[in-house]
Amino acid sequence: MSHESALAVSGISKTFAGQPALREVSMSVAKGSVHALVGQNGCGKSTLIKILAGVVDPDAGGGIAVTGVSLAPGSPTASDRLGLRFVHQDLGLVSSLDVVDNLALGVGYPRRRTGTINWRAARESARDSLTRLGYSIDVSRPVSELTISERTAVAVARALDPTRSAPTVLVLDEPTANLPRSESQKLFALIRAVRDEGVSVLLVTHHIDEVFDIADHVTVLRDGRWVSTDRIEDLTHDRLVARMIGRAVEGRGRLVEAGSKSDGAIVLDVQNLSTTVLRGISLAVRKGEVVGIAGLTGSGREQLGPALFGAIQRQGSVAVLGTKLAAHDPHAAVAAGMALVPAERHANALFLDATVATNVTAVGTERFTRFGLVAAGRESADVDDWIRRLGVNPPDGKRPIATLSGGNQQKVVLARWLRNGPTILILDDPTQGVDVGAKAEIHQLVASAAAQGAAVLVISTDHEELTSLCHRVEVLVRGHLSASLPGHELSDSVITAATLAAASSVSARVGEPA
Amino acid sequence: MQKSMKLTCVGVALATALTACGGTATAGKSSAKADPAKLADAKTLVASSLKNPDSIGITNPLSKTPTAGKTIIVVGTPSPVAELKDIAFADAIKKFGWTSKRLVVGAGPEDEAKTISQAVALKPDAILFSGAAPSTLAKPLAEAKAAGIPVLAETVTEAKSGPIFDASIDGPVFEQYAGKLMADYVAVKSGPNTNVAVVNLPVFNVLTIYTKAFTKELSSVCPSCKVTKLDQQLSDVGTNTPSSVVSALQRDPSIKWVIYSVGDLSTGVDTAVKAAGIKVSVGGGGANAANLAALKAGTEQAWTGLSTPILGYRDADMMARYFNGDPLTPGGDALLLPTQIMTPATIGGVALTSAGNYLGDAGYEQQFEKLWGLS
Amino acid sequence: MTISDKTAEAATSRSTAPNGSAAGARASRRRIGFGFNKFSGLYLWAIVIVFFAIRLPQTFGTTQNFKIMAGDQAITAMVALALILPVAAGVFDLSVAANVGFCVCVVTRLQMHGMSAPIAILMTLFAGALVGVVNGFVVVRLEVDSFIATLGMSSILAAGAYWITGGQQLVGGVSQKFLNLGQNTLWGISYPFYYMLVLSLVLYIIVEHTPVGRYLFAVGGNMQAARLTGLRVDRVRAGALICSSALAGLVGVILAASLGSASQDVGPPYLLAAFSAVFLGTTQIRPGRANVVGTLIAVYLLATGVKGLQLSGAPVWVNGLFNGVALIFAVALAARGARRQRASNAAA
Repeated sequence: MSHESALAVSGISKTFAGQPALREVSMSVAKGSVHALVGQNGCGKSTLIKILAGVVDPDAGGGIAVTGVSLAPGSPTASDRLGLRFVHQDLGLVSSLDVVDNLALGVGYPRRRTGTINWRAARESARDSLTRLGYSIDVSRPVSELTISERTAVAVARALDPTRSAPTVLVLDEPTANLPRSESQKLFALIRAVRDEGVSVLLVTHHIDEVFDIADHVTVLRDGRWVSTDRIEDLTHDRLVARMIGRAVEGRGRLVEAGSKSDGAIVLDVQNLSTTVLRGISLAVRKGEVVGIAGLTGSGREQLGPALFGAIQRQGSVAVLGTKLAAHDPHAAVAAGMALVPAERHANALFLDATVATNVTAVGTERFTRFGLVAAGRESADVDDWIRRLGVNPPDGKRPIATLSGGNQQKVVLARWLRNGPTILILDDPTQGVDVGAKAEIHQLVASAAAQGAAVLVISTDHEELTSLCHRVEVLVRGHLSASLPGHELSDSVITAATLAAASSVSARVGEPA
Repeated sequence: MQKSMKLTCVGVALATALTACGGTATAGKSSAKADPAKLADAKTLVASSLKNPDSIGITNPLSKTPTAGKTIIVVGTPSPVAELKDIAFADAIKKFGWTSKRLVVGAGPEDEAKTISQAVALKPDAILFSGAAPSTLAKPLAEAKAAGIPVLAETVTEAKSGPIFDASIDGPVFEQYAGKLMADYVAVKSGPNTNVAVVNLPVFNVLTIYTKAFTKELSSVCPSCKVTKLDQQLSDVGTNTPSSVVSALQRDPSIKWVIYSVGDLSTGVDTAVKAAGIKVSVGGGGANAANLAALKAGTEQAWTGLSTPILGYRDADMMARYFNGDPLTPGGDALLLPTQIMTPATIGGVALTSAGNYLGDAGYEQQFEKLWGLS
Repeated sequence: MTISDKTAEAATSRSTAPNGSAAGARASRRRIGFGFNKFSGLYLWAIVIVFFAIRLPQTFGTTQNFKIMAGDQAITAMVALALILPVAAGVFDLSVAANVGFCVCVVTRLQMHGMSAPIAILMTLFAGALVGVVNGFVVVRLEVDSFIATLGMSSILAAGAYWITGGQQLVGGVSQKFLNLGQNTLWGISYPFYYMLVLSLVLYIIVEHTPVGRYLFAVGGNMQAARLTGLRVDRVRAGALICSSALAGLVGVILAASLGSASQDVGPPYLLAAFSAVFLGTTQIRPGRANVVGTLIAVYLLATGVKGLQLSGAPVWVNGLFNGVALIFAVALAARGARRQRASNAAA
């Protein structure tokens, strides 16, 4: 059978620091087919893709074959030589360069005998390879001027370049995550064009409806294990979702009492909030309430925190305790008592050159001044107090922040804001890259902040986190709030199902588990 | 003679570079006896040079008043001295009924050549430039020659050729004279065994000629005197030069005089020297307005001046003679501009411009107009 | 990555590699405490002083000489101090030296027109600060990279200085009282040295002991994170540029008083020396960030070395040579120290 497969994976495992990410996964992709690979966050999809690309070594045992030829693991060159080609979500294009230059990245330009670039040949081959994908693009335009699907086409054309070896399998990693619906239809046409050239396509995606639009086969991974591989005709939407979620994971030590907090005063009042992705979001968070926001990548989840805080452009109104906040002014947000623990703390929250203490005191230094000077002694006593209270380890304010683990760094960011006594605390992916122990501690801190009267909004990709932490969870699908899940109904699987709900059902309020 | 001049320049530059590390050069053997005749000559020259010059140095009138209607392009260096000279030149040729246009040279290394090319393209009757070495301007000068446009090159240290006519206004000759004059003054004023620091900007050939002439003359009239060379870079002026001069004075407290080959080099030095609690006499060539003000205040001691208005008129005079076909060495000591030694005692009677720069002879306009048949 | 990031990185050789290596380097810096890394400049300075004092006891090793050195470097030190605020905030102000030159011309020209010294000084400070307002507007509102914006401003100021002076040296027209401000001495050291001390103290307090200093380093350290703590990043960046320009105005006034004349080219030569001092300063006392004490050490370390060489009879170009070599050498040493610590951390 292997000779019919473009790609055959058998018994591949991968363990990271004792944590299994993939366990004995086997699957195969038939020649000339579109094969979808689906699963929840953390199911092992990305690890599998990285192993195929040769950037991650699999554990010993198991094997990978491309058109029957065995692949030496852990070598990007070997993968490339056997024709495995990858287009990642960020596409890897240089937006200031034109299409010809982008296609030449990594592949090189056609040369004349003199060694100079043969620009005419380069332009013609660029035009050809895009035409074969069904796109007619002016190849001298910079990539920044192209639509997203056109950019994807450029990235795919580059991946399929046959100069080094004939492409056999094209792996598309979340290609539609940032794509509007109309554009994704164009992308499907492109995928079909690739398939019709005899190249198999392995499509990694979150979007269930897309799987039914384009895929011939679908493989489901869950918790690092292979669950199923089916022909698409043999599946329904609900059955696929059920396979992804598996048995429901219920009741893992909830930190807040289930049930609404309808009695508290409204602290955060959002009306008709829109951004480039978000569409007319209205939302209220009450005193002492923890509200969760779930959504797939590209659903607008990433924009919600920054938009509320005024860090990105927004329309609509955001009010804290009745005071309307100026758009695009984080300072006003902080002044009104808003706190944001942003996603990607290295880029957005930490001053990596500075000490723990400096990172804590990045907000609210003014409270420790006397005659305009910082009262260093009083401030450092306060910092030490918070470091101790939050269990930052090691408890040393003079230590460079960069020497701390991710979890402790996140606690420092949390200390920065809790110290300021926020009225509304917004956490964006607060436990990303945080170990299990620190994660539980952070959850505890958030819950106690709420118990002391703060309104809390937790935006997360971790559905277990939302389940254990939130009074209710609002679900974002393609820029809209599609469902409000009350506390007593919360579970990992319910949230996941709601985030996977087809775009068509956006307006329907999903009240029950799928 | 001109060839040897060129060689001298190169020689001086080389010698400067080589002795730079040593820093100190003794003007002559200290055991050597001063030649009383030389010293007497020096005394005579100093005595006459302390008086105001009474003429512009030219006595031959033009054969006829210049024909009106000529257009001259001035290729102007953006330095204070060059600009004042060009203003005077434009003022002078207006009296002939000529017009002029000034093209200012940029700071880039090729800008001088580009600007002269540009000047040729404007098809003037003549071009005036100053300071730059003709050997670096071969291409635009060839263009000028092909177009039949005469060029007046003033204050250049090289032989004249191609379209350049010999106008006998040689910066080097003047600088040599000024250097000699100052050396004589120092020798006469301070006597034997005087130790002198000479601050120079070797990047300008004419200034090195000044320095060289000063050193040579001092060793001649005062073999026991000593010269310490302090070469500066253009960017040091006003920033590093003060501390460099102070260091030299600290190193050798016997230094009595600081002589600058050009006045601008002294920017900021007096303040630094004073702050260091050091007393020293200050003088040199090409005094600027600040130096002359310092003479009045008594904080500097002896300067010679270069009269930019007279230089500008001399350029105009030479151009008129060229177009008239008159001899270009118009009698008198035509190579020299009027100059004098100015001291705190004499500065009160010296003719200055309204901006406080050296003028030398307040009656220069009338004298030129007389030569030109305009009065 | 902006130019300023790159340069800051180059100057301090801190690795931006997430965690691991950089973390090691930082940990080591801390652990060493009073070691070579932080105070190499001070040690080097002491060595230079001892070396020349032994070699040249008559000239170098005198009280008088130290007074001269102190006074000589006051202007360079103040230009460098003016640069600390923008460098801390991660913006460049390449216009600072040209602004000094411009203000020298302004303050002199105004007095030549008969304006009294105090008013002329106030107007000049205002003009200097106005340059900073324009810089701030261009950098923050028009979003032009500060490197380019201030380079352009530098050229504009040079043109302005030329226009004010007409290309000529401005002499006279200023009162003796004004000149005394720059030329008088106290305990044998000229006044500008004391202005520099006061300015250092003020800046030291602002940078190290007020919230403003925190804001500057927050913005310079991670602009996005600073914005997400509610800091008005734009105001901080523009404010830093306005401060450096206002200080340039102040230095211009002092320089005009100490020179006693004005010409359009007196400012720009200070730029390189001042930037060298600030970058060299980032390797001292508070490694990795611009700081007042480190900058002063750098200025005087370089000046002492140059002075010693001058007194040994070295020609004037040794000045530039020494400054350049010392800058590269010191920063390279700091980088090497950090690298070695990283290596030993990794081994441990």
